[in-house]
Amino acid sequence: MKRRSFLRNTTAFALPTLLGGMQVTASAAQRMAALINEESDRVLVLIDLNGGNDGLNTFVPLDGYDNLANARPHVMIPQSKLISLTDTISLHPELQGIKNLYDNANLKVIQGVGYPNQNRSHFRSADIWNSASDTDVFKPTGWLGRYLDDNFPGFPEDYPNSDYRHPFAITMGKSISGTCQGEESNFSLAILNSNDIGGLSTGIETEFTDDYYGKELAFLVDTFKKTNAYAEPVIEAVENGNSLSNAYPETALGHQLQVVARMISGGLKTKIYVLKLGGFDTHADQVVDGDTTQGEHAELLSNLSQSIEAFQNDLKALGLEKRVLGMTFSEFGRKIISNAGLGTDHGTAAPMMIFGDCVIPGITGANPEIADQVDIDEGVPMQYDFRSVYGSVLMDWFKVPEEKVKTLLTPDFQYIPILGECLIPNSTREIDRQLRLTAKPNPFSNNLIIELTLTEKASIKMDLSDVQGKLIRNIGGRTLQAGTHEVNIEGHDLAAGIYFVRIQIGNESKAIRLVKSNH
Amino acid sequence: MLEKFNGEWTFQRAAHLLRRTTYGPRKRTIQEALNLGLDASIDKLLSEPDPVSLPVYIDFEDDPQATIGQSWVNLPLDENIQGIFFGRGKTLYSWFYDNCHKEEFNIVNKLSLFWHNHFAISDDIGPQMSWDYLNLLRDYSLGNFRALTKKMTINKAMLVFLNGNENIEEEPNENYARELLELFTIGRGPLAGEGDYTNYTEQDIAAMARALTGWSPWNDQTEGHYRTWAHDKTEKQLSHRFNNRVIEAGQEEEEYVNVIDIIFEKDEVARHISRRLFIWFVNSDINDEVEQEVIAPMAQLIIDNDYEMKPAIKALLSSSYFFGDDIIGCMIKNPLDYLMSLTNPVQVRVSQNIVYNYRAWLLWHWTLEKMGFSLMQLPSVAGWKAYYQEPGFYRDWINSASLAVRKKMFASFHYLYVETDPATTGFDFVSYIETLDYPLDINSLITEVCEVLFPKKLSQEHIDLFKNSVLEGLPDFEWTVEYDAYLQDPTYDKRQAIESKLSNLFETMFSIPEFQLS
Repeated sequence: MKRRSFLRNTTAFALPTLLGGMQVTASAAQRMAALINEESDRVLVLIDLNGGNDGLNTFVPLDGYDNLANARPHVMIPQSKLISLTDTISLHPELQGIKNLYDNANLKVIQGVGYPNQNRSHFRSADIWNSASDTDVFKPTGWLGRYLDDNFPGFPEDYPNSDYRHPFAITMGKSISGTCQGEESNFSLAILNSNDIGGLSTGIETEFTDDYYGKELAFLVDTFKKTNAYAEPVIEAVENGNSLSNAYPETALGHQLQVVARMISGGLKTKIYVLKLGGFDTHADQVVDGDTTQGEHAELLSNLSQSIEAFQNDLKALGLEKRVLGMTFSEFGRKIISNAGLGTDHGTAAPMMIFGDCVIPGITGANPEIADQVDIDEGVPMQYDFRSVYGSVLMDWFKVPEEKVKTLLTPDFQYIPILGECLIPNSTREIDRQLRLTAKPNPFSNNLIIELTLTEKASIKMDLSDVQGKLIRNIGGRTLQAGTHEVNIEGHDLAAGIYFVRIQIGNESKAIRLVKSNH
Repeated sequence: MLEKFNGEWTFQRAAHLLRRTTYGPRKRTIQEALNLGLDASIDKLLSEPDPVSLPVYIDFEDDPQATIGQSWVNLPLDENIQGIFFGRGKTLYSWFYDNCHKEEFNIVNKLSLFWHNHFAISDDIGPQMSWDYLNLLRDYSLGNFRALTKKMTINKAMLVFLNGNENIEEEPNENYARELLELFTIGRGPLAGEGDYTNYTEQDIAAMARALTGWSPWNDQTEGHYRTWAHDKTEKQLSHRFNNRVIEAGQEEEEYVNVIDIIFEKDEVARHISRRLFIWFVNSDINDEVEQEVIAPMAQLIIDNDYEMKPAIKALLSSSYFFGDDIIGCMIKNPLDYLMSLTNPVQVRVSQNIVYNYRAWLLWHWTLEKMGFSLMQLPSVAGWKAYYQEPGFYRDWINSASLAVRKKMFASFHYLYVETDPATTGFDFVSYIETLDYPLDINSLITEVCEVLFPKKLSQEHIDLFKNSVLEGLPDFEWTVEYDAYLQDPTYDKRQAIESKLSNLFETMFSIPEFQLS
């Protein structure tokens, strides 16, 4: 059997469990026209803050500052040391670069991003963020992998080719990113060192035997060849490309972002770059004893902030700033309380940063409510579903239709406007209006009423989670007319404790903290 | 019954057996297995290994109780001494790799790694706990699976990793109980209803978590200790998946034993561990035929032997399925296997000084980490993806970045060994080929080496490619002339010339895709 036809067969053979026995290539070929605009040269850069970033010490809510200081005395940073961002938010002292991005209208922050039914396990949470699956569903593909699969059916078999010489995605690091896992293959090329890729010897081409040995050998030969083929334009781009900033910090992330800038400026048509900054699992020594502005978290944020700022300025100097959008994500936030080891433990939601010249700058979503009595397990509740952020990026940046986003990510997708028309600096920032919502009585013992006022007809969705972010129930979606409404939540069967009700209306979301009392 | 292999016992099959059960077999070991025959080879592989030396300090000088070259194991640890955790902990990597390198004809290191992947941990648990954990895997590698599971349930490293230390009556933590069922013993079956995974239910997880309350790793012994105040002393009701059994109240520190015994009464445990062994030693495709003809008889052997693992492993490795033509060479080497297949067959001379030797292994450790192989820091509680993630399995080790590292390893040898011990040279191909049968004949030399390095017979084109890397188009006899000239008058210059040609040869052999297979 010839190599090509054999690969076709193995493909069909390897995947019946995933696709109910259909031949992938056949079904993929029947799909409608590609969604990616071929003229588009837009690039998405993802930075994975691995370990679970402490959002509360990143974007510090000033309205809850005193309660927060009570709840997390070991790690709280003195207000005088923080960098002021808005009336209600200050930044960690190491985030001057992020502050500068914000002042230049290059930063959007989305508050309280998480996934429904929080699990608080690193591995599972990372899988969920990569695959954009529901908590109880195991999806083998990544969210960007599915997007790319839709556009480039048949990958990897017929790629690279004369139309698509360049890797679709690049992971800067030792392993390929789960976000780019497609049905058949991962779309990302992993690059540990850009001077040192490709050049693999494929030895002697022989026909592959139609057995286990032959299949593994065919896979290896194919991977060797693809690596070599994709390495060529990458090496070319790094050589031809440029970097006009010397402000990158001497860190792996700084170096990697500089290489990304070189690749983009060198003409690489890769659409997605994924980078990782590890070390955010700060159970201990998040801060140093006696100076909460210093410590592991400060070092990480300093690295992140300087790297992103240098990258953004480099892109501007290179004239590429309108082509690149960046986004940070992390598997979860951390608990509100601190621990005696000068750290914080696994929590629920956290802010996401989206940066670039074309974002609608500002803060989306409300500060988390910090009560005067914080439960030991309490995290920041989810306000926005992470898939709504992903999907909005796909819609705004890659022009994917909303219906397609819903099939790729979740039917519960909620659009959050991400991009403006590459606004000029110092233009008006959109600060979201607060949803007008109240819960009464709160604390409650039996039933609870959510009162909300709508200025126009809207469909709403609500759900209820416990203190750890575990989903208790979906209260269901409904459409309401303009005016004031009361939604009843039955609470008599709930155990005493802290709960969060999350309400989603149009582009906005809000989470309200509820206390169920015993009597 | 697992059908026993009764074909001809050849060099290729002996090499296959050793590749899958040891690390980078040398020619002399394969020859020994060939002479012994299949049964005696397997008996030797499965025999009690000799005791190994304890890990020693390789560069840490601030421990008043032991210095470089001496072991720190079982010595008290003064936490105030800066760097002592890392100074001790990192030597365990070297210890493990050195065992893989030295124990040529024993399955113990492949099995220890199997159990490490099975009872996966990934935590900064400190050197003594890591040592106790690794030692447990080694001691029980061919022992009783149920007994190992009991030991593991109160193992200190595991108590820390899966939060057994936080599992107390007041606030049960289900992490360990969940993985115990889902991954370690019976395995998760298809979803049969809400919270019902066919083999067990959420109710069983909760009940067993409560039964396992009370254990803590914070003591000076090798195992966790029981605290009666933290133990839930009520009875626990299991689901219909465990025949509505009740874990009786008041068993205190014996209750965990009872939990494991109840789980192991289910035959599915034997099938689950058989599948895991099959993927580790044989192939990743468990189809219906494999279920019926391999997994089922293996599981029966395990049950018949009361969860003693040796008879089943012996049967698997002696089976006709294991020696199937398409099984030979169908497994992509993991990074450790790859390193050992560069180091061992060509008899790289590691330093005789244990400290220098350990330093070299430690440098390799950082290389292995770059390829996603990190001992004691597994990517998740499910172990390495290569051994569970469908449909790719072993292919997970291969990507553009890991291939770049694999490619570069050849060039690192000289530097790495000279750096750690100036008396070593890394590769020494001239000395190596002296151990071959007919090194004066280039065809014979290449064929002989290929039999050791590659699982399958390669094509004549491959042989020509290799030959060309030495002779660059010159006729074959020129090798004989050059090499003979060196043998007659072994000057440094002539040796270097030969070494450089052989270096080309081996780099070419190590670089082709076929070399990635085991």
